[in-house]
Amino acid sequence: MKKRILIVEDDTFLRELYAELLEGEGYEVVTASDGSQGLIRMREGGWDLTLLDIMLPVFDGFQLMKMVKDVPPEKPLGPVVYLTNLSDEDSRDKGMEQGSREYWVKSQLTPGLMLQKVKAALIDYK
Amino acid sequence: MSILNQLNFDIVLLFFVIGVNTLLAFFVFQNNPRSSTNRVFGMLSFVTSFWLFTMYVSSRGVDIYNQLLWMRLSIFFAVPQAVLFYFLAKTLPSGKLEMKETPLILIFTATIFVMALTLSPLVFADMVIINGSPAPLIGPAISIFSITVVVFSFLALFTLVRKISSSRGIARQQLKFVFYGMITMLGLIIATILIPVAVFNNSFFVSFAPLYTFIFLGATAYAIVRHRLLDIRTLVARSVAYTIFVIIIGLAYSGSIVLASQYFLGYSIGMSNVMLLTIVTLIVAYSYNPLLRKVEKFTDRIFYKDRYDSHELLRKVGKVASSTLELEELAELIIVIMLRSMKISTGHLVLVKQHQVIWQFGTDHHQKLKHPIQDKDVFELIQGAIHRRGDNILLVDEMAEGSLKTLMKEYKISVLYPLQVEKKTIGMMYFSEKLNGEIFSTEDIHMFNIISSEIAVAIKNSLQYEEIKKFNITLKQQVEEATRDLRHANQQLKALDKMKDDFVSVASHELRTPMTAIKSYLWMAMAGKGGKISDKLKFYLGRAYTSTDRLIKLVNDMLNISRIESGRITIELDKVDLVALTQEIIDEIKPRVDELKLTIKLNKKTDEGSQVDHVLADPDKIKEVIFNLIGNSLKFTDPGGIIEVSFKKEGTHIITFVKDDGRGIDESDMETLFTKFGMLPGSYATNKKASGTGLGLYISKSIIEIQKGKMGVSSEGVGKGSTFWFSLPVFMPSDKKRISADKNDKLGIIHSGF
Repeated sequence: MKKRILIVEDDTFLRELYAELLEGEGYEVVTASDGSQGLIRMREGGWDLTLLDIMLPVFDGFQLMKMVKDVPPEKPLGPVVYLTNLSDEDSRDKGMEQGSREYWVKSQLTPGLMLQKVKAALIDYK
Repeated sequence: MSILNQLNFDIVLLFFVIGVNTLLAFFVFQNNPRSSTNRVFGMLSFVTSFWLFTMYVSSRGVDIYNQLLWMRLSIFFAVPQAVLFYFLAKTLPSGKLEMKETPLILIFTATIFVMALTLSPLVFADMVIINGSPAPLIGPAISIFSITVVVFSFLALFTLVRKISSSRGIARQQLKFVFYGMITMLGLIIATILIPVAVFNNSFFVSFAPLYTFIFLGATAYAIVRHRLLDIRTLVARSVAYTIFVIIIGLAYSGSIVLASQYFLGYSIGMSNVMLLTIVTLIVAYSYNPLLRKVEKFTDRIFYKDRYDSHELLRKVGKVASSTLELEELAELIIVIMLRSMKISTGHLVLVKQHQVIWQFGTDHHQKLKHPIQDKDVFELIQGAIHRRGDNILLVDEMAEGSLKTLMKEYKISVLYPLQVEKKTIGMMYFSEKLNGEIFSTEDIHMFNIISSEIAVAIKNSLQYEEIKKFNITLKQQVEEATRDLRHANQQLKALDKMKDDFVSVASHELRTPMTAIKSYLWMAMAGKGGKISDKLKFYLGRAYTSTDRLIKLVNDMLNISRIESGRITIELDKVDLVALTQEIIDEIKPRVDELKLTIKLNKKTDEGSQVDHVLADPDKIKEVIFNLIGNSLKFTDPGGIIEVSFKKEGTHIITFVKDDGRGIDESDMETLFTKFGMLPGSYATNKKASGTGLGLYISKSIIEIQKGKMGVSSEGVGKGSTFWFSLPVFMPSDKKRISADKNDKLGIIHSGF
């Protein structure tokens, strides 16, 4: 069965790039471009991996995580990785507190590295 | 009495001069017995009276034997007269005889000797009749007498000349008149009496002696009247008035006795009786005032303790001046002390600044008084005092009639003097009359002179203190105001700083997102995701990719610096194994190192061969630093080069060395290396592998320093490689407590490659 990956990312170019990259590897990719769409998708649950941006329109990544934690979806949400450009410690620590497993800094990842990390994460959090 | 019968001009002049002389001697001496000038002047006048008398008698002698005696007596008195002239000159104008004991004793002995000599036959041997008139027969010692008199007279004149040239103002005027009088008198005496008698045996001019003396007395009197010498002007004035008064009483008394006896009693009293009664009356009248004053002085001594010790007064004022800086307290204390000591009824102090009266204070012995003087009058009085010749004291008794005197009388001011500090007038002090009705003496005026400057300085200090006090209050207010402003500014700055941080955060995020997109798409293209590309195109894309990467790093570094500089960087100290950490990094970058055909060596033991101690540091931050140093070495080392990481323990620190055999650094460039944007000129342009922001070393050094370490570089020179090093404190068991227990798992810290 295809692994289902949710990408919540407001930047169209990046969103489409990640989608293309991961689909190219044979994953089922669903995207959301802002906080409200992301919330809807996250409430569906059952994702093998969620790549969640932090700075998003409507609700930011932290708020989304909190809302999903307060009202858990029927199916388990699955592992969430913050995928962001907010690289400072405060954001990272906050991200960890909110229950995300990892905190990836987009600008520090090449698409190749990103793919490796996704693969590793899918194996780790299976 | 044959002398008294010859009532001619000679005798009238003689007795007038002797009378004035004796009176003057008495008054001057009485006025200030402590002053040497007054004492010498008194003695001089006294001796002169004797001299004049004996000289007169000698020239009108009854018989030859008596005439010889009178002649001898006249020169007997001439000796101390000359010596006293010299002493008088010496004491002017200070009132002190400034002479040492030895010359004084010498002069005294010589005077006695010459005086004794004059009575012996050695000077005047005998009297002989020459041309029908008696003349003295000169003895061999006449020259000693003459020389003594001439020498002392010239010494007196010489001293006066010297003092005139060294003094100024009123003292100079006084000395001048005394000098004129003295030189005229001495010159005439020597020229017309001494020389004719001694050389030509001619005593024709002897009877003119009183006239000569009168010239001196006249000059001295003029100096007194005009320039207040010896401070007896008021006394003389009073005495003249008193004498006239006594004469009127005497005439009225004798007249009324004669008339009353003739018309009422019917018989006439003998003229001798009237004369006798009148003389007795005059004596009683004339002695009334001095007697009364003596009695008053005696009672004053009991009730007022009239005399004051000037030193004591000065000491008290000085003590008060140093005891307080409060203006009102100071003024009151000083005035009260002066009133008590000098027996004055009231005293006032007025302070001025520029052309305004700023403060007035007055008191008698018990309470504060009103200060009635109008501002414009204050300035008129001060100006009057300042522009007075000589000293600056206005004494109402001694002033000529005029607006100033009227003004002083109007305000009942007896004495007034300005307060001056360094020639700047700060105010004035004035006093009413003395409690016992006496006039102010020389001593009092002298005291005012001394005290005025002392008070002026004390008042000035006090004023400055008041100003400082006022200034302090304003300063405090200003500081409070400034603090408020600063607090406000600080709040604004804090808000601004937060805005700046937020801005940097947001901006860097917003910048990084499109840059990440560029970088990622370039990577996709280069990775052949969109189909095969030519090598040339791949080369172009590669450069675009590197540049984008550099931009991203720049933004990251700027964000880091902003955090370090604002002190918001969080350091999480932990026990760090440097060897393991370095190994981790080397493993991570191995593909890149291989690609560049370089070798990295890691010495897992220290130079001494022992284990490398763990250090106390933030592992993430240290990893960044080591990454940065190794990354720099990679950039500046040519293929085939070796990079070596080693450790050394030095005291309580472990030093990490990152050594390469790359292009090295010139010594002059080492300082700029660790500064912001401290890239060496041309370092990147000449090296295509080298891409950096110029911020790496600056950030690394800052990070190391925050963790109580140091960082530096050494190089043998350009082309000989370089060694970067940093030190970190060794981990101590006691550090354990400092490390926070609640550590989250640190996962997925991903660094960009090289």
